[in-house]
Amino acid sequence: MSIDFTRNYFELFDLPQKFRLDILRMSEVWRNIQNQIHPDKHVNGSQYEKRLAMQWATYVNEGLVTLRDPVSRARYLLSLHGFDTHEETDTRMPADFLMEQMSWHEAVYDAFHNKNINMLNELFNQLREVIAAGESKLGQLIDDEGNYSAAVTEVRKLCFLQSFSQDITQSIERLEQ
Amino acid sequence: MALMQIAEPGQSVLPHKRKLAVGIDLGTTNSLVATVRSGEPVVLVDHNQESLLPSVVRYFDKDACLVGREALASQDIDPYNTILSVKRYMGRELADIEALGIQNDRLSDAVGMVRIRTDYGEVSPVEVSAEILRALRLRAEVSLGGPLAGAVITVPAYFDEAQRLATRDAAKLAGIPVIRLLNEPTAAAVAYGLDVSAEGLYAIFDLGGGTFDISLLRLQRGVFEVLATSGDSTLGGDDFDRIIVNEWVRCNEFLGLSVHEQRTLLKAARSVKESLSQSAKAEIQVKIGNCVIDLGLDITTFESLSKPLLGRMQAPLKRVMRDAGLDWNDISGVVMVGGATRMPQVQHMAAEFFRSNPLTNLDPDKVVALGAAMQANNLVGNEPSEDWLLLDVIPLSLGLETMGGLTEKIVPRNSTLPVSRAQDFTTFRDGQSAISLHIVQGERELVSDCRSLARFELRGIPAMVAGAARIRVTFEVDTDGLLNVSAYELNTGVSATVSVKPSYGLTDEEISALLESSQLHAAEDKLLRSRREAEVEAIRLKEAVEQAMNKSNELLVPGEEKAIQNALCLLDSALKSEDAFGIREKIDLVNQATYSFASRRMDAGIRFALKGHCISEMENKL
Repeated sequence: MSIDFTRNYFELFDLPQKFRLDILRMSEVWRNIQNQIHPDKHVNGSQYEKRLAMQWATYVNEGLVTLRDPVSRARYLLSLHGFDTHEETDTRMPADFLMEQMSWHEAVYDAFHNKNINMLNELFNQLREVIAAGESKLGQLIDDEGNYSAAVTEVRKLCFLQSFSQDITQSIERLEQ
Repeated sequence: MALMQIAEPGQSVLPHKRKLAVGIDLGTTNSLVATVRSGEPVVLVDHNQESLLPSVVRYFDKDACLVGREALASQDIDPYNTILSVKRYMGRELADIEALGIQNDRLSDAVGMVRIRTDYGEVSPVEVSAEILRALRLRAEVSLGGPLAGAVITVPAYFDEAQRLATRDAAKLAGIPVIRLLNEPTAAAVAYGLDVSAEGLYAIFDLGGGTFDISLLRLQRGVFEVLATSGDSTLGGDDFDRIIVNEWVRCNEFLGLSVHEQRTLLKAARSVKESLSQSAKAEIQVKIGNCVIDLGLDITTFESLSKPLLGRMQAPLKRVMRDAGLDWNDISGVVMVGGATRMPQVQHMAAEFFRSNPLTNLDPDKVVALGAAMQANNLVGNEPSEDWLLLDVIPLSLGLETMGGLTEKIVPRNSTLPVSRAQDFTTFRDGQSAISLHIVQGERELVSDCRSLARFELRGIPAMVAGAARIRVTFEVDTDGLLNVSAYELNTGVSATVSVKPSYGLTDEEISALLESSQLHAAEDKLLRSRREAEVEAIRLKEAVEQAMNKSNELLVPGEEKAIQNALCLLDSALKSEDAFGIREKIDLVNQATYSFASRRMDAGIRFALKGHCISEMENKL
């Protein structure tokens, strides 16, 4: 069968296999592909065609989600180069990074308990900048230097920061309700 | 009244070439049905040329009821048997409803969903909704001249699985073939976007009688992409009526009001609320006890009374912007949907939040039904060349219960459908041979704060030390929003799977019992019905295959065309002389014959999309 679900997501979207990615271009291609293979475009087709359309649409959405988020894109790219980031099983982090995290957590904890939404928003924006800096470092490590093992550490840090930024968002949501 | 059409004998079994498809907006206050006629969506009217059907049912007996305007008129005369705003009870237990501050001593708790007590017995909200849907189905069949081939029914975007399932059940009871449940704001975006060929980022602000939804969509070259959706399925125009009543009760020191009097006040409040959308002051006379009392309200008082309700809309508004990662200046326009958005204070609030004046050029009562009709027309295959596509999202996160009653999110809210996500889990005890999976829906960390959807078990895991088993759980949600969960142990291949039906919908047995008791299909010959269904499917398939062969002739390999033609011929003769079973057999033959052709076409489609060709170019190709 000509269908090949094993081609990687970069090939799927016909994009260069790089961390620095033209997100607009990718979304455009994603929309074009969906316009061809989405199940709603095959409502009159045979059972097989409908099932195929559902599988393709799911696969393409998975690709979009994986590549759209910088951290998951980096993780995916590293896995293509044979590097596993092991966030699930290995939670060791550099000590200075952990110290930094603790002061962040304290600030968020205080703001939440003082019901200070503005402060939480401020912390959220600060964290976003830290994350953005980490992402541009990833671009350098992966695309320019090919330093994958350093990139693995960076991904693990960013993963940490991302879940922390979700915590802040949840705190804001709880206070807003 | 339109006359029913009767086909010539012998022809009547052949379905119409154009399938009858409708969009239904099953609202808290009013319901509508629309269709697409000569390319234009239109709302269907009743014999009085009314398009809105009040979502009110008055029972006269166990099986006799009246739906709509007449039922609405009797709400204060016969309050115990006249049911309003039933949508608020769909898929809800008594505790959920009481948490909303709705007091109704006629509600009794039952597993999964409340029941409503009338003088003639208890009814389920599903049955009441089915009466409303049946009235709409009849209106559509009379107006279109035949049985419906498919309907798209709209639901609030923020409805959870239980509420969606209850809506589906109601449609089934009403004899309506549902092809899709569509989110109301998404339907509105389709109607609006196609009406004015809008491009850009739009916010759909939808305040109905009982629900509030806010959705952000990107409209680009015929693709409607929902970026994020949020809302409050317990906040609506009804709540504004209630604050007016509370104010009157407070000012006039009404004590010990009867149910009749409460309904009288609610009715008066609604009419005052509607007047205040046009004028600064409204007055009304009501009879309470033996006195006639003048009641009134001015817009300033109403606005300040509304503040807490408007305040409740802030959290979902902020959340949807955050989820989509957007700012107010990214938004090209705000489309107002739902009758309750006529209130000036609601429009002001939306204008203030998005810093632009909301768009109100489409009738906020009709826009949802019109969009649903367009999608229905598409999905039954009437307009296969129609150049637009809807990409919707799941409104609430789906997850699993983990140790300590915590939720682990597997599919995050606002994931584009269809979606599939997998996560690995492990065992907690040495030698643990089974794990129990509890599927939940919601955003909160504690399982007890989320909706429970289903439970199932993976058994037969061979003895291993705690933490050694690798159990991969996969969540799959298709374009209909239906969830399938499967689990398998990676080392041994032990697996289990479940199709999720929330633990508190009606069971299939309950549905079929209700179907039989309503005598809906008593007169219909089941065999004839199943043959007709097979015919529709066969003709649809045949048309699609022929079209595909015309368009992508170059993708056929030698001998393939002949094989497909043979299968189609067999299908043709089965259509003339065989029963449902025979037709289905030949459908399978056609399916088999076109198997690899379909794969090649799908691949060609993707190659085309990659070349960056515009949509209209591709349409000719595929």
